[in-house]
Amino acid sequence: MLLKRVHFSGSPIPYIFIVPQLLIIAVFFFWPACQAVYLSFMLEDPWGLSSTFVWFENYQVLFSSAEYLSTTLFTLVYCALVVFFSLGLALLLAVKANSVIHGQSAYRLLLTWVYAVAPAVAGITAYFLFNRHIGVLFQWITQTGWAFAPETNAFDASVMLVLVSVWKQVPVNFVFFLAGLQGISKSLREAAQLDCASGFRRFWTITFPLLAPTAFFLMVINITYAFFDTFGLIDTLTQGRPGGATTTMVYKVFQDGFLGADLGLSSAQSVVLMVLVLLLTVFQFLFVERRVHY
Amino acid sequence: MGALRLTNIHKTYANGHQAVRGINIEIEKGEFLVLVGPSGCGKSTLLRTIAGLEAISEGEIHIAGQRVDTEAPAKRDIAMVFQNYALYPHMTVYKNMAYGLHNRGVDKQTIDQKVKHAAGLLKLTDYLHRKPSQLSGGQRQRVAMGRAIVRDPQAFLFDEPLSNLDAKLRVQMRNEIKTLQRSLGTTSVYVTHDQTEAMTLADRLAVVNAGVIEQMGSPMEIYERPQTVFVAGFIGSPAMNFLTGRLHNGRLEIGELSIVLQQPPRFDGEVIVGLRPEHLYRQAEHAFSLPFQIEVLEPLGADTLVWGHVSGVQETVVARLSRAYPADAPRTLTLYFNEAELHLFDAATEQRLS
Repeated sequence: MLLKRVHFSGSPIPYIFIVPQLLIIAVFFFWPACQAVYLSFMLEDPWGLSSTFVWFENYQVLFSSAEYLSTTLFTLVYCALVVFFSLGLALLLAVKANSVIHGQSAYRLLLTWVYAVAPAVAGITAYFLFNRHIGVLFQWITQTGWAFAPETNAFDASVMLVLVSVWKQVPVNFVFFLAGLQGISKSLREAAQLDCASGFRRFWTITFPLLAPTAFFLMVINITYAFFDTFGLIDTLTQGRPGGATTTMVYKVFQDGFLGADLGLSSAQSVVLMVLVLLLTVFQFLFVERRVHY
Repeated sequence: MGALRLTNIHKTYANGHQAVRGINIEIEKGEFLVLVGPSGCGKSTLLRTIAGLEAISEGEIHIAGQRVDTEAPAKRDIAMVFQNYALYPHMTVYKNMAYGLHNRGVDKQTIDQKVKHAAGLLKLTDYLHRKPSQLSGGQRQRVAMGRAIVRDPQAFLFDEPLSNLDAKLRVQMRNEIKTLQRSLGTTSVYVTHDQTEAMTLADRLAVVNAGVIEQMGSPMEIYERPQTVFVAGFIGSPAMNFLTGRLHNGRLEIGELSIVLQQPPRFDGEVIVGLRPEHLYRQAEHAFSLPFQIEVLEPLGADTLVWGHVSGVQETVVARLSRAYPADAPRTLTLYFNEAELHLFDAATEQRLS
């Protein structure tokens, strides 16, 4: 029988090869993670002069805080909305762009463009678009009769944030969906055309199941995006205003730790996030991936 | 009234390329028509226009008396078997076959009955719950056939369905397709570039070249009386030998050879003389003889292909001699042929002279 794997019995060579990678992971992930866990058990004064071991007090404070609960809820709803709309919109655009025969590359370029914009820049761009005095989008919205006030109204601020986050994420999803669609062979689509007269039905019974691996992968990417990569957007656009209504869990870690100088509480939140990401990953690979055809 | 009638079909692409240039075919019910031709001759395009996967630029398509050229592919009551099978990878064999019926609103019980019947015919009963990725090439091909059979359509369209199989399987599937088509009696149009497939499967053969039909007829008719140089060269393997010659008052001159024909066509001038490799014999009982210089021997087991030259003639000539030909045998020999097996074409028009 042929062994599929290469075996280095007792040789240190393979370990030497992975040392750089392990070092990077250790320095930039394991060490900070351990630090976070350690700090989450400490109460530290803002000047870093003294720290006291306080067991689970930071966690107790965190879980009994109504503010943290509302932040968690906002994060989940925000994440769900961003994932749903950015995937849905990207899929729609990809299907439409895929059926365009002439000038397909022009459509592709236009739809992919936004991907090159950094989150902070996107946030500032959006800040100007939604500006009360000079914002184009602000004017359009108020013209519909909606008294749009993202500075004071929590709902309006959330709408603005979701809108910008989706806009920023659609290009990535679009590129992947388009690649997925183009990976479906022409004859397969033709066979489906002979078997099923309704294009809508064909999409949901043939095209979509074949895109499922792409969609699954993108869902993981998008949840990570909504949780962690929207920091730049929030920081430039709302800074969690009004009254912490648009604060996500990640943004709150920054606020409590770097602005509030409460390192213990901030670390406890980081640990909660770590556990959450871990659970999410396990859940996705156990339950979602099983239903996906590869 | 034919089961499938194509009237004056033209297909011109947006870039101006004319893939199909005026084709008329009428296919009887239950007939097996094979479209054969080199790649890029328009045969696949023609099939795809029948299926509705490509719109025609001009002409009419009638299936069972109904004009269908503006209908959607799913409404035409045809089933197609693709070259790369085009099975739905996320569905089981059963669902692959049931999909088309399901979308046409057939009730579950009838679907089940039809799928199981087709699976029985194709020896797929044990594989109904497998996904296409777990099947061999031949089995996938059968599933693709099954998907067509369950639909019980007016016509089967085959687009080079055996090209992806290895040689042995191809022969086996070829026989299966023919047997199945005979027993089901479904009108079929089959596209291939393989002339063996074309000869063995066809009730009627249409040789397509550059978007037009060069000749249509039964396989033997086309083999025995090819109407053009193209058809003569395309059908038959190895291809027919073509020698340039002159015909004058019933006397045919090829190189240094000069023979008097018994039944000469009424024609004077340059001709192309076609002679099949299998119609060159070593036995002296045939009327005419050729001095032959051997260059290459290709033993095939049952036969030997002998390549070489006839003195005074530029073109390489090949003969198919029965049995093995000893390699140390003399390098020159005399080959014999009959007048009846000569094909004469006008050198200018490349049309047959009869």
